[in-house]
Amino acid sequence: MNDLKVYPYFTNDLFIIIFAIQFTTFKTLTLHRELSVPFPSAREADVVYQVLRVDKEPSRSEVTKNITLNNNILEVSFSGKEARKVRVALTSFFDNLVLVTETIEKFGPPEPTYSHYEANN
Amino acid sequence: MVIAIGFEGSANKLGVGIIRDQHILSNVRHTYVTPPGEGFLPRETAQHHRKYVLEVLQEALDDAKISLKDVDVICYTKGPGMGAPLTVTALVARTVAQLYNKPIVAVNHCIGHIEMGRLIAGTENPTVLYVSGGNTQIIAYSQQRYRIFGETIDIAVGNCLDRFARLLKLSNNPSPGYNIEQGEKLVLLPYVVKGMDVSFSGILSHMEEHLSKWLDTKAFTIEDLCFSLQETVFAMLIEVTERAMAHVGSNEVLIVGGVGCNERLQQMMNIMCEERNATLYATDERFCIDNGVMIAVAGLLQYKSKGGTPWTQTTCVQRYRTDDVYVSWRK
Repeated sequence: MNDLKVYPYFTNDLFIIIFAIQFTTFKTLTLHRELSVPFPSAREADVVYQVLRVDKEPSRSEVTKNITLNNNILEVSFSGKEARKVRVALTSFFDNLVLVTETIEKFGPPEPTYSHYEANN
Repeated sequence: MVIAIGFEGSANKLGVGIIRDQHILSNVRHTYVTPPGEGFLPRETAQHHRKYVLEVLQEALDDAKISLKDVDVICYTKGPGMGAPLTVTALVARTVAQLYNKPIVAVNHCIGHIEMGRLIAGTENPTVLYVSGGNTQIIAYSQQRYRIFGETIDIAVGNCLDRFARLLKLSNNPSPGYNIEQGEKLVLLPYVVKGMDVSFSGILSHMEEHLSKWLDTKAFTIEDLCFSLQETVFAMLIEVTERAMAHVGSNEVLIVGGVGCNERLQQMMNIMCEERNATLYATDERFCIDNGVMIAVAGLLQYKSKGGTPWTQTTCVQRYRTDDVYVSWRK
């Protein structure tokens, strides 16, 4: 199967990942979770990275989220003290991730570069 | 010619609008309507926006008969509003900006209402009454800022009307506030103007407290109560607006925001304006109520005068005052 067409399956996989994480976060004191999300191309991963890195976690969430980009793989780590808050941060991250990938799927593919980071014209 | 697209999602209205310079190409809106007696909450509202945003975007493009390639600038609501719903539209705006390599502009929701109102009604320098479910402000322009002359010190006037309508279990479709516009016998209610500011929460509590007594003794009907609430809160707004006009020497009034659709409010404002030889400007529900076009209009003005918003600043904020914005596009 062509990699570009796997979004619907990919979306289902996300929810399986959520459940796996919920069962494993209860035992440790500082909860730390890492995720790797592969994309069909490096540019698509870059778009998702650029879009998601802008919003900071709400301060009351007490969860630190760190997003990095490694070629076509988006790497995200979450750490926090309360399982409930880490779970909320993860759920909201997946909601956002799904929305962005759906937008790419419907309105993509992306232009090769983005040239308005500094804006002002 | 510049084409701008605006994304709005700060409350329960989700809207995408497209303009070419000052011409409106499309204006699509989808409202999250809750059951009678219930208000809208951030999480459910965000879910609604997530579900419909791509559909609404496609419809706006189809109506305008353009593709995203033709768009020159992407505008979205930065705030004020509910965090979760705001984030949904901001994410989509950022994604399409990346996909098509377009500049992005963060817009203050209140400024959107003002600039859209000025454009549609064709008024240069009005005193603005901005009344909606989340905001109540009396605004006038001075030295690169829209200055807030008076505002609510607790809940917004639309919130007061909506919550009263929900208390009576009136339908939320099209909006609870609309469904109370019908009555004739006046109940004496608290009238709360404090200097240039207004307060509505005490009036609402007063009504909540006396509601069953008024209705059980058949002293007043539901229609009378709705009528009385409207007359009282609108009189308060007109008083403060008139004082602001006298202060800045203005002879134009513009009403914007969802409550601005209310015909009784427009009628009362018109009486005041006639007495002062002033002119009233108002728009209809396509533009009063939150929509995408207003964000495109304000965003385009901002873009033409000082360019796009730097990428890392394309965030959302729940609190964002009207007078925080430096109005670079006016003299």
